[in-house]
Amino acid sequence: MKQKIYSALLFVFLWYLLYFLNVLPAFHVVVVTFLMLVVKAEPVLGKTLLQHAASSLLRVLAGAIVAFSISIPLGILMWFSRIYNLLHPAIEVLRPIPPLAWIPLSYILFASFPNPTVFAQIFIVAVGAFFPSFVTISDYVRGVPQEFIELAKVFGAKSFDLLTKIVLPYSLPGIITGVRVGLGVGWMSIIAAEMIATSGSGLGYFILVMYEVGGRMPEIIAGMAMIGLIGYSMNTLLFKLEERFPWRLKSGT
Amino acid sequence: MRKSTVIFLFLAVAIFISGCAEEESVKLVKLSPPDMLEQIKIGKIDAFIAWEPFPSKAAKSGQKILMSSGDIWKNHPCCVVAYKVGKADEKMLEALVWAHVKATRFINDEKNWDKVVSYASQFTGLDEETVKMALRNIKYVEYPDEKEFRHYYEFLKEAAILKKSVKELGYESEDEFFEKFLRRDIYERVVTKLEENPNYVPEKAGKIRLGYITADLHHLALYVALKEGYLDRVFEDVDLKQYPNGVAIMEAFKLGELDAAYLGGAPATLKRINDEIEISIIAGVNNEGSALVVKKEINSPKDLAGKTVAIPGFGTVQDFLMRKVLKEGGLKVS
Amino acid sequence: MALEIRNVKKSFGNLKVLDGVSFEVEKGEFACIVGESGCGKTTLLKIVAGLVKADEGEVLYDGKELKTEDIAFVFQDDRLLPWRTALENVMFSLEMRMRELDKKRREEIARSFLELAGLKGFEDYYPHQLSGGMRQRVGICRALAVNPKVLLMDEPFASLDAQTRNRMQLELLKIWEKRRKTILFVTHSVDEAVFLADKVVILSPRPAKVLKVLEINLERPRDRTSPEFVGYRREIMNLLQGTSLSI
Ligand SMILES: Nc1ncnc2c1ncn2[C@@H]1O[C@H](COP(=O)(O)OP(=O)(O)OP(=O)(O)O)[C@@H](O)[C@H]1O
Ligand SMILES: [Mg+2]
Repeated sequence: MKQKIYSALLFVFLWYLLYFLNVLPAFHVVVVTFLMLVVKAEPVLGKTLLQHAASSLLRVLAGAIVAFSISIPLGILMWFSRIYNLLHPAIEVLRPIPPLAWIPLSYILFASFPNPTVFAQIFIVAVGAFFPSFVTISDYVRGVPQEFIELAKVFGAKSFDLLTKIVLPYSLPGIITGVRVGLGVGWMSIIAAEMIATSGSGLGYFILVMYEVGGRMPEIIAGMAMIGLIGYSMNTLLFKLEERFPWRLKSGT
Repeated sequence: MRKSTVIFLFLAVAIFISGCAEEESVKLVKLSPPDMLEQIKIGKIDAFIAWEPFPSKAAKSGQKILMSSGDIWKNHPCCVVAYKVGKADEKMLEALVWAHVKATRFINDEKNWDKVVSYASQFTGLDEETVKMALRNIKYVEYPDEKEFRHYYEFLKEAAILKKSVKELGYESEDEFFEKFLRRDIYERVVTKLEENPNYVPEKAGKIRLGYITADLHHLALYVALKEGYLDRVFEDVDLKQYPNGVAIMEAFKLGELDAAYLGGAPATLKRINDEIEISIIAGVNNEGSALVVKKEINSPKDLAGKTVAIPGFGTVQDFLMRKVLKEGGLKVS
Repeated sequence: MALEIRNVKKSFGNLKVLDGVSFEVEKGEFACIVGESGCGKTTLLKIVAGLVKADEGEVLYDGKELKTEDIAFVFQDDRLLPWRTALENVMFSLEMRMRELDKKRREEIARSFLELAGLKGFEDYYPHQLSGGMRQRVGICRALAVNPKVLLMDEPFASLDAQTRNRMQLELLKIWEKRRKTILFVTHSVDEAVFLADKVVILSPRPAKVLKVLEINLERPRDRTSPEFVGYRREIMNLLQGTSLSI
């Protein structure tokens, strides 16, 4: 706790240093701006910071649900070597493509949809969230200890039992890690996608418009703080959940 | 753990409640004018406000023009010629204003109508019928009315879009600010010399880097000045640069990419104050010349409640006009 | 004759591990297998369990081939599933092998075995909340619960400290006396073998053959310091001489 206070004090001190060097607006100004924007609509876009956060979060949630409803079952099925051999090379080639590189393609794909921007954004989040979650889950699944498989076989387990009673529960912390990492990448993707697309709302859009209208560094930093706060919260909550599994493989935060 | 969980959950609930509590108001989105035409067709937006020739083009392809910007605000100033203080010398400015005045007078001379239409068509890449319609909505002027111009300023100030006061920029009063911001002296000098001698041509200046907005019919004077050779007569080299909107031009000014540019008076004022980009206005370009285009089922500004309206950028002339319409119609921006 | 191991041979590539292992175990008899590390004890047990195929020879029970569903295995590591409580771990074997039972019945059986193993009150503990000895006992319950014809145990107490180990041996004997399973128990420890077994099967170093099958005719509970006990120990040690078994 003491450590945390020192770290916060150092942060604020460095901030004021930058303020006196005319690089940043004063810390307290940003804090006040942040609090004001949380409760009061910002005049240019007519929305509070929370409303922008809700837009971004809803898009992330939609994209993440799409991503996880594919990556979780598919990741579990990677336990079967045949499926692994079939999918692994393709995944390894697609995985390094950054989510933002999918933007132009997604606009073409969704051009005829009623709301192409939103569909494209959800798609980009889904792409961003899919790969890290899929890879984390399939790594876990591939790493199920042979000992547990042997144990189940001794007692007469069938393939389906192995999947549901060994592979799935063993991989549960992996699924949560996957969801956590996927949401993290999805969150970064949506902020970036909002800055490129004319999305009309969202935190990425908010900070971009604040930049364009000008003279709004506190607003921009407040928006960034909200982005960080939400990303941090999602990560921390899921990480706490993950820590409850004593057999989880150690993973980075 | 427990305390932080409570905080997180509280934050999450607050976010979702505020996300759901969206009142009946108008949603403004930023789009480039060519995208506006596409998106109103597919129904993604319900209305847009843009500069000519886009409203005329939309009208031609079946959309409805609800109001022209003259209906919203009679004789409102629109585009201006501005220069970056410190970048351009007086010789260059006089040359530029001369070319601009010559071109504007060329456009406003009835005799040249056919030629003007053909220039407008070349400049925007549209057919002559559409540009004729568009040209009728634009009033090409040589210098904006200061009183009308200050109207922008008042509005931006009131809407809290302006972040700074002129005092923070180091001016004693608004009057002093506007005296420096709207530099009329060069224009007056050029006009006086032209009155004394209609064949007057200023001394030749060196190179000028001049910005304008892509396919914005308001900036026709620039094109005419180029085509009629006015610019070549007073500059050794003209480097023309295109930008998508006025905000982008102001960014270019800030980065020192431009000596002078044609742009909207609203972004010029807004960014001059908010970002302290030091520019001054040396000539007017046009009054009016924008229009609000809507889907067929919309018959009055009140029908825009709950709809999505596109503007070319925040802090543009069109954003300003749109907010004026909404305010008068008792609607809120969200 | 209950369990017959007949001339079992097994090689892994060029490595000859089992070279014609044969011996017999009566129904309800407690047999220990001792032999040098790496001689093939685990391999033999896995062949009996049907987890590994023998190259030659057969494993019979009452004259018929012994099947995986007839045996239960207690592993050297406790091998409890970390996401299941003690009770659920015992129920695991029942879920796999006694599918006809409903959940309630499975739970009853599991509870009764945990009670038998002195784990009453620990049913809802997760493996990481149990001691090493308790975990081993849960593993034994899991194996006993399915009522196997033959119980195979691969050095189940090897990782325990001496004191816990001695207590576990007593517990195991108590359970065995109540349930009278045929047990095949692999151990490194000659002392453990003499303390537990009716019969000790002594294997040669790799490739393993049966050196001798020694009947232990001592009353239980056995006194580790009695001259007879020491005599059996000495005999086995002599047979295994030159190997590095713990005393
Ligand atoms: N799957 C396998 N593939 C190749 N070699 C194997 C395999 N399993 C066992 N072996 C070899 O067979 C030999 C006997 O192994 P096993 O595990 O049966 O020995 P053990 O008697 O149980 O030894 P310990 O007392 O140390 O447990 C060893 O040399 C081992 O390397
Ligand atoms: Mg072994």
